[in-house]
Amino acid sequence: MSRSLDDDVSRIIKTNKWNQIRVKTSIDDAIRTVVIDRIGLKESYKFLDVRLYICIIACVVAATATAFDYLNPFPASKMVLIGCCSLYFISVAVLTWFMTYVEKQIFLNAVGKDIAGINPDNHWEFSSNMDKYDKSYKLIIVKRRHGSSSCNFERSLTRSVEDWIDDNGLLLIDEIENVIRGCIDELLISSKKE
Amino acid sequence: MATLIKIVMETVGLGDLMRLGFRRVLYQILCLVMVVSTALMIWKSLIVITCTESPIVVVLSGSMEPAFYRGDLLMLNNYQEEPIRVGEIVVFKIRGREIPIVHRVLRIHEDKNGTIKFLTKGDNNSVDDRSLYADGQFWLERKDVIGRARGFLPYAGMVTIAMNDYPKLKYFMLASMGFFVLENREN
Repeated sequence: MSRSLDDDVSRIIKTNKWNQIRVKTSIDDAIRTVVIDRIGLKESYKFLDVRLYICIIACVVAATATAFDYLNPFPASKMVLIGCCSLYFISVAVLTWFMTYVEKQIFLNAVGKDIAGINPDNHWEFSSNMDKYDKSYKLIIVKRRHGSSSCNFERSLTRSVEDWIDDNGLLLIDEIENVIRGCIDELLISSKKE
Repeated sequence: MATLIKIVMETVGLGDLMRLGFRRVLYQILCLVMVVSTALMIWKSLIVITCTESPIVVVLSGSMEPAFYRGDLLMLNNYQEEPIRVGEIVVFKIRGREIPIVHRVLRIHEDKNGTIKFLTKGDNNSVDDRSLYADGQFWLERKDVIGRARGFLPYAGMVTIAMNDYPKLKYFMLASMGFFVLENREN
């Protein structure tokens, strides 16, 4: 695949290597770049869309409460405020539950279409974790077949961040790509054997 | 041109935003809006719980010293079923004035049907508040009261006084908070 100018820019992603959160986020972004731009999987925004819908609902409710209270000052707006405040905090609770128990640490959902168009799509989940004050980056890749919740293949790997970030804080995209390609190929081979 | 924008964004420190895509940028903006909305909804909830349009007020003058000093934070409620008593500290608004006043009830007159008229005075003032009332008004009524003081935090309101005296400080703090939320996304 020929490299575009975007690829050249992504090769020089620089991060603050002393900030663990920035390091993890930058590696997540690099893996996303590799999976979407270089390997060619299509990103699925299902989790992000759910978060967006919940946030939009919460913001609309807050705006409604504010506008109504401005036009009809308290106590005329009491019942509307009660309803809107309840709905807002319920929305925030649902969003927190969704992010904690459904989305967990998944930072990328991708879909791989079968080239021949015969087999069903493969759904890929990429989740990552870094313990506090630990330089190990743990990546879990799960491959699911479309429409099947039981047919899952999982591959996890742990790398030290110094394997993927050089002394100047630059991400080594090529190394990341090699590892990710290897994991995806292993999972594809495992699923075909099954 | 696109490369130049990317280089500028990387230099400023917002390079992460460039790599996010439209959905994620929208989510970042919504997160920022929700930070403001959450504070707003907590305030509205306090309004409903305390039954007053101003659950928290800051003492702006020294007229109630030594009970309250300038910069103290007062927590109010305004339950209609609780009667107003002499000696209570009430927060009231005068017709034609925006800023509420925090003074003590000095005298109460009560009619047979339960309507009351009362007179207030600041602890640190030498005369009662009749000179502060509107023209032709000699007594306050229940509807003038926006809350009764139920608790206070000393000096907690000095930040509010500073932001009122220096509006640029308020805008600077809001802009800093917004930039901080955008920079530290999702964590």
